[in-house]
Amino acid sequence: MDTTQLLKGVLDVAVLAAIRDEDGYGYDVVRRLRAAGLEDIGDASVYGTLRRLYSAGALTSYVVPSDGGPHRKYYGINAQGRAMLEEQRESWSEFATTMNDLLEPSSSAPQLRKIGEKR
Amino acid sequence: MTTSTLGPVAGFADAVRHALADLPPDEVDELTDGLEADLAERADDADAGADFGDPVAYADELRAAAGLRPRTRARTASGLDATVTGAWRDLVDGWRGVASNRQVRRLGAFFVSLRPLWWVFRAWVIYSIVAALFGQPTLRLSPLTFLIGLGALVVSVQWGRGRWQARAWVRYAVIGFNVLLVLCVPIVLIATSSAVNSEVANAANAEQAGPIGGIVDNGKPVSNIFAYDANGNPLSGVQLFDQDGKPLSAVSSPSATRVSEVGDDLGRTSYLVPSLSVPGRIGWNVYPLDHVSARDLGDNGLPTSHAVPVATRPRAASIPGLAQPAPTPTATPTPTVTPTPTPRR
Repeated sequence: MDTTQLLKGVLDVAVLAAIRDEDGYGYDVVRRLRAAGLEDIGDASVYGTLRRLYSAGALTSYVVPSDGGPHRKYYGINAQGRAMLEEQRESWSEFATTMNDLLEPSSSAPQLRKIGEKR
Repeated sequence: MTTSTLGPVAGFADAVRHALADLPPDEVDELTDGLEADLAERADDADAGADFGDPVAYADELRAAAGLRPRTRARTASGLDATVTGAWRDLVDGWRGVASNRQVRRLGAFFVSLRPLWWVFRAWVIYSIVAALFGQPTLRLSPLTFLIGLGALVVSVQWGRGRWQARAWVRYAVIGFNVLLVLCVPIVLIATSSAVNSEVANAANAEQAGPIGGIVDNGKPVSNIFAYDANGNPLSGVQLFDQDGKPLSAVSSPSATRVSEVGDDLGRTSYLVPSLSVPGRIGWNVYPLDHVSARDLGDNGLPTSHAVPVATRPRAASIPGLAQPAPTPTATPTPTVTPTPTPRR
C-alpha cells in the first residue's frame, strides 16, 4: 500500500507528536519521524506542516543562529498544540481500532460503523 | 539571508523561493526560513548528498503541506521566463474566463456552424496556390483548373469533416497546414481581387470596343474598297471623304499606321499599305489600297524601302454596268428643272 497517501492524513498528529517532548528544527523533525519508522515522509511536507501548525497557533517558533552557517528555525509545542495533539490522538486511536476490527480476519461477524460514529 | 556559501544548497533554496514567488514575500520568508540549514544538514546526512530533486515539486509539496493555495501565477517573479510564463497564464486564464461566458459560447457555436464556409474558402485558397503553381489563371475554367478545384474542395472538406486524421502526426500536419493557409489568405485575396478586376476590365474593354476604328459595314470592319464607274470598269486612286469632308480611312489612326494586316476567307494574309501619292503615308482613304507581300516586310513588321506595292484585285470577277437612262451625257449639266419653293399653307 502506498503509505504516502496514508501519511497525508496523519501528518499533523505525527509532527505534533515528534516535538511533544523536545523542540526541533525542520530537518530534526524529519529525522525523528524517519527514525520512528516513517521512512517515506517528505522533507517539504514536514516543513510545510510545521509552518501550518505554527500559523494555526499550535506551535511556537524561534531562530537559533549557528556559527559560520545558516540559522536554524526551531519549533516548540504550546498548550493549544498539546490539546490538538490529544484530540487527534483520540481520533486516530478510534479510527485505528475501527480499521483493525474491519481488517481482522478472525472476527465472525464484523459490525461496520461509520468513522466517528459513537459506539 | 539567502547569501549562503553553500552553492548547491543556496541554488536549490533560491529555486524553491522562485517557485513560491506568487505568494506574498513575508509568506515566502516564513515558509523557507531555515531552509538552507535543513538542506545542508540533509545533504550531510543522506547518501544522495546535495541532490535535492526538483525544486518546483519540492515547493509544491511545501505549499500543499502548509495549506496554501496551489501555484497560480508568478506575479512577483523576477526574470524573463517568469514574466513570459506569467503573461501566458494571464492570457490562458483570461481566455478561459471569456470562453466560459454564455453569450460567448453561443457566439462560438455560431461560428462553429460556419465551418463549412471555411472549408470552401480553404479549398479556394488551396486551389489558388496550386493553380498558380501550374501557371493557370484562377478565374478561367479549363479542364486543368476544374480538376484542381474539385481536388482542393474534396481535400478541404474531407479534412474538415475529420476524415484522414487517424494518426496524431496527420492532425499536427493539418494544424500546421491551416496556419500556413491562413497566412496565405491575404495573398490569395489580393491575387483573386486583381484577377477579378482584370476580368472585369477585359469585359468592359470588350464592350467599349463596340465602335471599331476605320470603316465598318454592318458591324464588320471594311479593310478595302473597290470602286467601279458606271460602265462597270474598276477605278483606281479613288479618294473618299465623309459628309464632313474628312478622309474615309480604312484604318482607325491613319497617321500612325504603316501597314494593315488583313486575312481572307482562305486564311491567307496580305498587308495593305496606304497610297504613296499622299505624302506622309497617310493615304488610307485612297482606294483600292495596294498591298505588299510578307517578304517585303522588314524585321520590324513594316514594309522595307524597296517594297513595291501591288494593286489589289477585287474578289468579284466582273461588275455589270448601270442601266443608263441618259444616253448622251452632257459635258456641262444644265438644270432642266429649277426647284421653286412652294410655300405650304
